[in-house]
Amino acid sequence: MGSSSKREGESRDEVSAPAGSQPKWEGPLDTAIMFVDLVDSSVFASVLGLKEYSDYVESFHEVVRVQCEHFFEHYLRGKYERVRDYEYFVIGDELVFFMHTAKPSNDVYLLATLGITLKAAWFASPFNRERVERRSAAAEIAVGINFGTVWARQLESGFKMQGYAINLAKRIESHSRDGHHFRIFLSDTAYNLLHARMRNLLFSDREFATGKGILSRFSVYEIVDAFVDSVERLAPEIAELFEELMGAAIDSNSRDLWIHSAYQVAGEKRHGGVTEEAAGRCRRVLNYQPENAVALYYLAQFYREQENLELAEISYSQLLRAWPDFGHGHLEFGKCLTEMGKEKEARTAYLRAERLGIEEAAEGRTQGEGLEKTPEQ
Amino acid sequence: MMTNSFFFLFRCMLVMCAVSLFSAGCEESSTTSRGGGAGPSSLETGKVIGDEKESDPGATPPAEGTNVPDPAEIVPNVPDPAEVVPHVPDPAEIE
Repeated sequence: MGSSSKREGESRDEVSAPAGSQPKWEGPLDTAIMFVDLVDSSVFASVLGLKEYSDYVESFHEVVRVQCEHFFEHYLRGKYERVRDYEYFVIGDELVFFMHTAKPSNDVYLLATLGITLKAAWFASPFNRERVERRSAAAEIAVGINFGTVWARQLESGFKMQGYAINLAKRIESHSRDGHHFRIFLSDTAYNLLHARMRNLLFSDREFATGKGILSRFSVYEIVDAFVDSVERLAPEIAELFEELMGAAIDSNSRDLWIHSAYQVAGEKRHGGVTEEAAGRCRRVLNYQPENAVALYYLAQFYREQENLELAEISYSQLLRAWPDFGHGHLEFGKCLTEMGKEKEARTAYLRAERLGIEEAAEGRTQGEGLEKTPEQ
Repeated sequence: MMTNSFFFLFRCMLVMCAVSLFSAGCEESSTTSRGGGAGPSSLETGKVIGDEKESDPGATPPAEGTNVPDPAEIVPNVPDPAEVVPHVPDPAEIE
């Protein structure tokens, strides 16, 4: 649907400012690229009337406009400038976003968190609200993120970019519609810029995909779970609607567990701990997804807060069996074991966290060693 | 004359004694009937601020601004959300 609405003379690998004027500058530009697309929009087009379909697409445009503006102007406090640092275009049922500052890892991270936030914002749109209230599944969006070099021409009106990296980002987005978790996929390059640095995003194992016009198979990683507070990043009017809908969506729909993750992260921040209700939802999620990282983590936290350390230990162990590279899980497990007086086991947990780049773990280990030596002195 | 006024005075004293004994009896009966089907006026007079635990569970809540307990007693040990640091750091940016 989106391609039919593209500007004249614009191909998939050539997006952004209109051509026609002499460029102020042109050359290769390292850019993070994100495609966001409405899943099953053709199905909606075939069953909805012309006006209803137009309202549906218009609703998506409005969500993108409000949310992107809030994300950059308010949440990031206007640090980044449109055109100079980032640019986005909404064409039909598709959004394409470019970010090209001097910090590639940060650019990819911002796009990943913006993608998660846009999912939440779209979920809270009037179109989806009606569907959730009817207990139907919400209309989804899929996201593909790539990082690569494009040929950029800087015109008066902004950058005009061309390159294979744009094609690949689009193919990753197409692949992401078949995702099982967040439906946000990153290319190999984007993943390598991010995964070792960020502990609040958990990724799937590498999988291979094929795409139209891409000669060989390409590897992608899906965001499986995220300790990202979408509510904090949402425009206030959208955040309110999202919070109202979250509980009903979790209780009625076992598929969109990304909403459960958003609920737990925002809930813990709001209440200063894991409530009984939140713990109940963790248990229900674990009934059908026993390795859900957010559910295991917050359930362990809940037990710790209730001083039920034996059950906390079981939840942490289960979490770390499923997610052995989740550094922060090892850190919290170390703290739990220290509280239980299991100093040797705690030391091992802290060491694992340290190996995964969690600097705070060294402090915990040192304190633990101090406690261990005290009785001998 | 003297006898008549003496008797009048004596009758007045008797009436006053009877009235005071009667009023003392009434006070005692209102105290013992608290919470046991006494009229609304006696409940109102017997109510003590901060004595909510003794009132009926189905009773209507007090009007806004009256009998408000200390907030610290309602929500114990809940930190200010603004001060809460999430367990897993969720930075806005990497650098």
